[in-house]
Amino acid sequence: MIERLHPLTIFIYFLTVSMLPAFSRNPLLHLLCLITGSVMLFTWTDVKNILKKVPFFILFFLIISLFNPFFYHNGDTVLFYVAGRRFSLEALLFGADSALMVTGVGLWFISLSHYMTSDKVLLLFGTISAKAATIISLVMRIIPHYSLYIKSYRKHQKMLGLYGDGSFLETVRAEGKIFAGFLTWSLEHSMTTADSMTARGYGVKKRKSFRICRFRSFDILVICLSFILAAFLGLVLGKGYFYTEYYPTIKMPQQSVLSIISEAVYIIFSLILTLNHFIKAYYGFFKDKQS
Amino acid sequence: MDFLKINNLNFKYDPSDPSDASADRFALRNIDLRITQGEIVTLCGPTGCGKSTLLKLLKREIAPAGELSGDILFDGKELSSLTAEEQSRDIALLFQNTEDQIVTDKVWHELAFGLENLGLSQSDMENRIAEIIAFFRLESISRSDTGALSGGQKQLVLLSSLLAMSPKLLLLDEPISALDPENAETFISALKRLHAQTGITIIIAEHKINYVAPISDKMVVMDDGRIICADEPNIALWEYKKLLPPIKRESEDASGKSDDQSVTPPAVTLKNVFFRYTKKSPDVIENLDISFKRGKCHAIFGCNGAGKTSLFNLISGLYKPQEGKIVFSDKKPKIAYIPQNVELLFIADTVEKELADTGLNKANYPDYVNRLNLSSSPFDLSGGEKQLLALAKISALNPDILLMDEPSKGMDTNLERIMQSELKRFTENGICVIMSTHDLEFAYAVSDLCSILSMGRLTGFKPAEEFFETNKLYSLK
Repeated sequence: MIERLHPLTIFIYFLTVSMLPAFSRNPLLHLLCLITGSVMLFTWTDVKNILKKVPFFILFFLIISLFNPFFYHNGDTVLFYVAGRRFSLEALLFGADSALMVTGVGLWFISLSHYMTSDKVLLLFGTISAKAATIISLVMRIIPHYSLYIKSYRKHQKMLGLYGDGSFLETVRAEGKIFAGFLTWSLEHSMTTADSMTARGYGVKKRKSFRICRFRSFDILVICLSFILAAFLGLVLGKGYFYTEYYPTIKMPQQSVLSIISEAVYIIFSLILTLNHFIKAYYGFFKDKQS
Repeated sequence: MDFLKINNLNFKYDPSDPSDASADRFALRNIDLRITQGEIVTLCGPTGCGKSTLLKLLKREIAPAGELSGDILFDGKELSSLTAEEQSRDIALLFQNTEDQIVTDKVWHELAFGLENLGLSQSDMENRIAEIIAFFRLESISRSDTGALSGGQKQLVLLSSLLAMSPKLLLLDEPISALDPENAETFISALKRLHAQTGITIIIAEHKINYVAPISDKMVVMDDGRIICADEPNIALWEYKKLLPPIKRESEDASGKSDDQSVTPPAVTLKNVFFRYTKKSPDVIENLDISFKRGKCHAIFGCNGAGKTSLFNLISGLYKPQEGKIVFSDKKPKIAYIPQNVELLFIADTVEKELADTGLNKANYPDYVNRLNLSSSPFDLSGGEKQLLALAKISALNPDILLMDEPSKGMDTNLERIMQSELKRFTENGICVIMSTHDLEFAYAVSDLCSILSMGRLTGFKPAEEFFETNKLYSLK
């Protein structure tokens, strides 16, 4: 199951799977990325939730698709003219391809942000620098704390009559005072936090990060596979096997043995964690029921 | 041998520090104290007696700046000769404000924080954290966000994170003043278990001596920077009560206040009010039907989460009821609300500016403002003093209805008496005072009518004396 993986594994895997298609210019790879990215969503959320997001993604897709032909006027097949400028089929398809890519990468990143909880982000940074990890953790603590405070601060000051008659000028003046008051409050309180840190030995010795996750062999396997895939596909991409030309006319790359192999490898790799997730999640329960 | 030995300690705050009123006088005078290993010692005394200062001087990293004479020997060594590592490992201090002492966003990380600073190995850290989680029964919250914990849980997590570093001396600055009785008891029983298991030396500065006296081996009563008495709790308590006599209910005059109860007009009436926070959550206030009278002080009891704060938010208009009506007798009543966190009312950087903000100047200050240092920051006041400042600000607004959430929080009985006379003045002027509190003695002393909030409803208001007489659990016996 994905949440059981080490954060470094999750990070490298998701980045490899989403970034490789992003650096290619091939609608097929982009489509594969979108499909496998959607399948990944099912590992942590249900159909109802995904359906809720569909209209947003369709809108997102349309906006990006249409953005291109309105601003780029290359391409030989002119569909119509807008304000005297060409609106070409090639530009439209190029826009659609970009939209496909951005949506696909977006879907992968939604899953990434679900699996990279703040604990995991912290752990990732902790391995790089223990100080950075402390600061991130401090910020993660402070932001919700402060935003809650300022909300109720505003309410209580309003009751004390700070906002006056609610006219624009009064409101601006009041917001200024609220901000100054909040600043004083936060400075005073951050002194206590600083004292609490010093009192507990912050800066006394070289800091070490406490880690709550450990590497398993499966983590190492996934990371190695990610690197191999990145190297292999990177090489294939670099050789131009997947390069689609849009202007002046569309030229799709010839399918070759190598490109078919590459696509197959990508499909398998981008589904590997999803499949593993479902097998672990459901097969385990089957075993329970049978026994 | 004495574990902690303080010889003729004198301390004066740095005169350049404008935040302190006592800059020109000694905050601590001729302090001599001996504490043996494994003792639990309580420091008590009125607000500003120097107990917090004494605690902070025992923790070098955060000791206040100023003139210090005399010496402090810790475990046979001069305190100032300890290395920074020894200091942070061997002496743990829990200060007053729980919320701000939490550094990280996850409970497990908070527990690990001190250990990370000491540079322990991963396996040592794992071991200590596991031990502390098991001992303080933190398993269910070990992965939670620290921001999502209740006040009592935060306190316990902080205590645990200090103890994970296995200190030799534990200093606690008013650990239970801000806690409700339920959490206070949990905290005290955790301390008791800890002491029985490890024999750690503990020094507690606290107002709520009823909680700490039973577990203390020694009580040190302080007043005006001096130690008046340092003895067994039953002897020291006697001295303490002389210094801070308990607050009493004023006997009712012949006119018989309680009789006219039925004819006093209501200030606000709630008619079949329902309220919940989100669509799917259960009702917090359920079919509440009650009125609050003018010129009366109402006390509302009830456990945490009974909906007292929600009720206040409804009356004050911060929230709107989903069903039912809230009817005020005045057309546009002025409602003032002193929340549990009084700092929400502060907006200036000095006490003087704070008072000027609601139109108070030196000519019309209430008497008790003299107790506050006008040039200090409102945030530097003690808990009880903050309540007084909030009260002064609010009284300048001449409210018709005054809502107070835990008004006696952090107050000693001297400050409580000031609050008592202010409340009396308010009710005599026809103000409707509604307060929620856990403090039965205080409520008995100041309130006219009492009720319990439970399952979203209030039991009918009863006159205070009758309430405390007829109730079996809510009584002062």
